[in-house]
Amino acid sequence: MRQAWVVAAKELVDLSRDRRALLLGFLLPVVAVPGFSVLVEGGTLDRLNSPARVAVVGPRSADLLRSGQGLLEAVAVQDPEQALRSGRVAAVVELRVDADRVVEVAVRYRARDLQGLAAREKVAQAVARYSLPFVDRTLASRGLDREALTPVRLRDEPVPGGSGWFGDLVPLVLVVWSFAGASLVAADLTAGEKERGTWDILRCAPVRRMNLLGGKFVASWVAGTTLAILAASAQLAVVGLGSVGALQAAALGVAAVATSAVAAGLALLVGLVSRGVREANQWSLPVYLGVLGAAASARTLEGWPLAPAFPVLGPMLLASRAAAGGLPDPLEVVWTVGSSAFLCTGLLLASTLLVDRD
Amino acid sequence: MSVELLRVAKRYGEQEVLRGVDLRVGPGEAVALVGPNGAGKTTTLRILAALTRPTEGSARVCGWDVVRQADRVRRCVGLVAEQAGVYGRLSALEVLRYFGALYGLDRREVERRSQQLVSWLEMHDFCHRPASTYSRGMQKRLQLARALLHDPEVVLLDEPTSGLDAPTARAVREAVRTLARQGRCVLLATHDLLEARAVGHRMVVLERGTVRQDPAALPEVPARVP
Repeated sequence: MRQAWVVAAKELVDLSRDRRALLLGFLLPVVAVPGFSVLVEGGTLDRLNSPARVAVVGPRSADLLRSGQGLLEAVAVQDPEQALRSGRVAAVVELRVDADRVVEVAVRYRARDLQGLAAREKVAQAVARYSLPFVDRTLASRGLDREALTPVRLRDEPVPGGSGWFGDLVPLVLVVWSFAGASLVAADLTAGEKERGTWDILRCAPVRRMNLLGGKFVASWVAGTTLAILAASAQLAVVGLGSVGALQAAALGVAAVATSAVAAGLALLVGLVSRGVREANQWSLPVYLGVLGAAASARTLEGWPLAPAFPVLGPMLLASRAAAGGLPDPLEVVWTVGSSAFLCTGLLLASTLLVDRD
Repeated sequence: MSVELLRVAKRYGEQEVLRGVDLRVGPGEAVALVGPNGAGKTTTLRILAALTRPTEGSARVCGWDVVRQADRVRRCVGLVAEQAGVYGRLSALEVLRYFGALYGLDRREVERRSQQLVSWLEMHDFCHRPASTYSRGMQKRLQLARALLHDPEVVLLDEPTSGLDAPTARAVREAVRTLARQGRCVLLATHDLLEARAVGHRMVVLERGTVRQDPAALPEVPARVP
């Protein structure tokens, strides 16, 4: 066991002297990614809050556009369908007129386009505004007013808080950085050592293979966890720490530890079957995609009772709940930690068989 | 016998690297394994260092079987590999402390041995610097020091002077001769006949994975080089 600590300590000292790795390991998760998030979120919100660019087809469009002031911006185009396909306009609004007033508004938008969906909502608001005088007139002719049709009033009372779009990304950030940190370090400590010619020298020493890999595993694990916690903290600092208390922070920490452990175990195995870092990176690509797939499907599989028992998926669910301000379920924590520890042990045992492979 | 190979064969798939190699080397004996590239010299040393397993036959080092008692073998062998790298961000002394801990030596013993080796191999000037700043010769000295740190009975050297300038190569050769005088079994792989003659008490010629028993058939070389 002492040998494992000797190996881990040496690897961590070695890593702490790698200025480029430290700089990138700090700059990317702490500065670049949250900065990127702020820029993207700002840009997206700006686009959603500004008037929707639409092409209006049909007579009496000026009346509707007057009602939609601040909501819609008419764009003059020759071919509205082409403009919609190319994204020049977010929606095409087609008006049908009867008895000198608009009686039907057709909105065409790209169903999976966020701006199209926002444009559809804005057209609906503009149509409601346009319809209001007619409604009032009809109601008045029957001795009614608008209040009579809305017995229940809805009042908006927004309070500060919520993590927004990028708050939802905190669990993904945690999982991705856990994997990035742990697997880059693990690949360097195995495949990298082979490349540099130090692997055989290490194998020459009378070190139990489990201790040798255990030490390298600990170093990779620490790197992955540190990077993940840094990245998630930075992301939370950007979106607001309001909803995350001590228990939620602990749950995020458990998710980072569990994910990094699996990542380190996987990357050690990949590093041992590879002849160099490049080959290890090539093998890691499908692994990364699998991890991202599991992480992305977390929301879909949230209600599935066995989900916490799956590595990556379990930590992702735990982190999702914590980032949203929910309290961690103790059973879920046990499943998450247990399944990750089980997989990790299996990966380490399999890796020991590869150390002395010809 | 410190080193004993009995009808050792090694195959990588279809490729036969060693075919029935027999070799016995005793304590205090320096043997040069000579042969062209691809003759099987490095594979022989790797088998003796328990880095690779023989496909057939048996190999023993200090009486321990390299397959069944690999851990024991590793304790009595010191290897200087030709393609070995260094831990660039650690100094020579840190590397020696690291390997000392891996070999289970106590800290005081590691310090004592490190100082001896630093002094003997003239590493004073650079032993505190990160190894990434070392020249090829400095790296070779560090490898030699690391291989000798645990005071091994058997020292395996793979092309120890390749790429070194003449004075450094001379120093390494002298160090190898000293090791044999100290009673260690030294096995040196080289394709340089001059070096083999200069360092070895005995020469074993390997060709296409087999021991050629007639070293006299080798081209004439000077009897001794510095």
